[in-house]
Amino acid sequence: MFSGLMMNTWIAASVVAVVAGMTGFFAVLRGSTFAAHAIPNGAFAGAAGAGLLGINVLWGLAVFAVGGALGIGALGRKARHDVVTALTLVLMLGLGALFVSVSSQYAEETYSLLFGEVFGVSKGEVLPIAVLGAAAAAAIGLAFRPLMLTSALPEVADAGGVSTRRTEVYFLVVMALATSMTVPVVGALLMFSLMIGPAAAARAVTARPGVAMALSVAIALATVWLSIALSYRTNWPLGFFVGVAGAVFYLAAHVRGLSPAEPPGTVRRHRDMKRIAAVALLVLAAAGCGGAGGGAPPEPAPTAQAGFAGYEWSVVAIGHDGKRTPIPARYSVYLQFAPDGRFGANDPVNYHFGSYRRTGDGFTIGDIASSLVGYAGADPVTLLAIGAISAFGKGAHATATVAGDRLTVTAGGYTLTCRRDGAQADFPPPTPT
Amino acid sequence: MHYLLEPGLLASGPVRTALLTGAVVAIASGVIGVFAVTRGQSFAGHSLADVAAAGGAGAFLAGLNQFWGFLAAGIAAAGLMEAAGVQRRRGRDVATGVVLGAALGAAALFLYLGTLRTATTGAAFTVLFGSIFVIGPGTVPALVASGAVAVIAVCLLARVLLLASLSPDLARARGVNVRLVGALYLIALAISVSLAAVAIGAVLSTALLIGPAATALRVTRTPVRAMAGAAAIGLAATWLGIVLAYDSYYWPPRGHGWPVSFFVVALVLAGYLLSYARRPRRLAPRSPHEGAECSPA
Repeated sequence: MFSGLMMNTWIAASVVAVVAGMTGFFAVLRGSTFAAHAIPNGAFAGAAGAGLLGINVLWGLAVFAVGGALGIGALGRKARHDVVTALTLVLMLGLGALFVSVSSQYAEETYSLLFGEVFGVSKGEVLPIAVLGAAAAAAIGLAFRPLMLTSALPEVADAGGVSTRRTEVYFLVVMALATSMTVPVVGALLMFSLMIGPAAAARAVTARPGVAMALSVAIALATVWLSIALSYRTNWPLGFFVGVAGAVFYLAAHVRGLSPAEPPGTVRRHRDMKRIAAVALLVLAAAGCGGAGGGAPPEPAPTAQAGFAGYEWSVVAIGHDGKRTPIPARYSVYLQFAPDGRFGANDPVNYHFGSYRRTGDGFTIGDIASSLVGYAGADPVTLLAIGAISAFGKGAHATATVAGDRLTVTAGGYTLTCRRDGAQADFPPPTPT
Repeated sequence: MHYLLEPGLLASGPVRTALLTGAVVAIASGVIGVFAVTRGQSFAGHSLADVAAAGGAGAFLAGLNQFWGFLAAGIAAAGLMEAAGVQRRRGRDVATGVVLGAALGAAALFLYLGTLRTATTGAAFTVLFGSIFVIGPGTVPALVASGAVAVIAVCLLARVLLLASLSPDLARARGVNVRLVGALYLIALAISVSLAAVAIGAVLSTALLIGPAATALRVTRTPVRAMAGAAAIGLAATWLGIVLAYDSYYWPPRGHGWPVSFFVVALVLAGYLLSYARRPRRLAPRSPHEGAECSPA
């Protein structure tokens, strides 16, 4: 569970959780729950658009998320806030539906953008996520006071020269930044769960801002770690566990502490401490259960590594030079590992076939031959896929990690994220077209 | 070139079904949406649709008709939100959000399990973004009936509901059970978003619910006219959207139609933006509670 590639997942997800916990705290405090739902969801459309144009997904996400935030901020002055948020959201989603449909990019990619693709985060992706995460966290930290002031006492803030409106737009843009980094990892729908669940639970436990924010981050981290562990064990989607854990923490916090509306005081603080302790215990217990339930079974390295054999795997994304490119299903890029040691790989132009041998952390290619069709086009995805598949040359070594129905293969500087096709590899190989 | 009304458009069975269901959906969403906007329940409406998506995905997994999944989950969620206190001004968005988060998780799981079983991934797209052209004729009577029930219920409740929305205290003083009215309204809302979810998809049903209603409320003062106007705007957007989607088969990329949902959303939004060309008016009588219904941002 903590092998090389999974470490990327742990790091990326932890960064996401910290940022979501911080942003979510203010989203809940300011009543921007709907915006917190609308911005990540709208950003999904940007990712779909980027796929259509063949540019880096991160750009599409950033443009749509920030555009949506500015739209909500600007129109929110003129009309009802919730109405404007709803309409901005559906505009972006409508565009997303169009992009997905026109690019005939397959539902596979839509699904992973909406529900996340946390396994198979490549090393090159961790750095931008960490940088964007640090920037978002710093932006929240720097503006902590004005954000608090405009959330709690807007009139006082306005009188004191802090513009409520400008702070609101600032906050929405920070949320958009945080979103563009997290959507590829946890998915649009679940970024929302991760922002609201932990923050709402923390707010129910304590009314003191600093403590509540720290607790919100802690619960978000616990949620993510627990969810990764459970998702790794069960193969069920990460999003399911994130959504349910958020609700469970919220309910648990409400059972302990209700309505933090009374005036602060020593008694109150004392009770705060008790509640924090209770929730902390719960978090620990939950993490412990996750650890015990999930960690106790031995990490059967050979079995886990061998899990790829006997199946056909569709390549859904290729990471290369620090950039991750989704591969739509129409390119038909796949790897086949027959139980008897035969290997097959298809790029958009040629079919390659040969043999493979399992090794400790992956496999080694034996002989390999290929259909020899030339390609004179310049489609970047096709070229990338040809490059990636050519990494499986004679004697090449590849590392392979299986997590659920996902397989991550690294060879010759390419990281291929694959999804199990469900069928046993079908040999003799299909003739290339 | 082709005409706006492609020859053969009205002869096509799926198109006729789409026009009929589209009309039911647009009218129900328009009428019910006026109250969603007045009561500041845009987020609740959107959440109901997303929760309904979990039901749709569950139905897909169980091999049932999606509409029943949407409907069951929508009504269950309406009950849950009522229990979690959607009527409260403070904290209700958060309660809605938590329910929504959990439901989205469930949707993720159902869709995932569904793809494992059937080895197709198209369900995610259909459940979330809908496809009005693939509604089976068998579902149509159920759609029409539930749409009619929701619209009639809201029309009967309209007076009380309006009073309870604008001034709950006054309504209570007159002996109206505000909570019951609110709960009944939420159920009608759930039915209407389930209908819209089937037609243009769960995540886009909000467009038909909020867009026409918000536009109508900008243009007219009286609630009855707003309801009629919202229904008319929604109907126009849906029908025009269906026609354009049918035509778009001849647009680039050739031989691949654009989704109906996109056209409906674009038309609804164009209508809303056009309403800005007029001087804004508000729903009368303007009460002090109205401002308080905005999300406290």
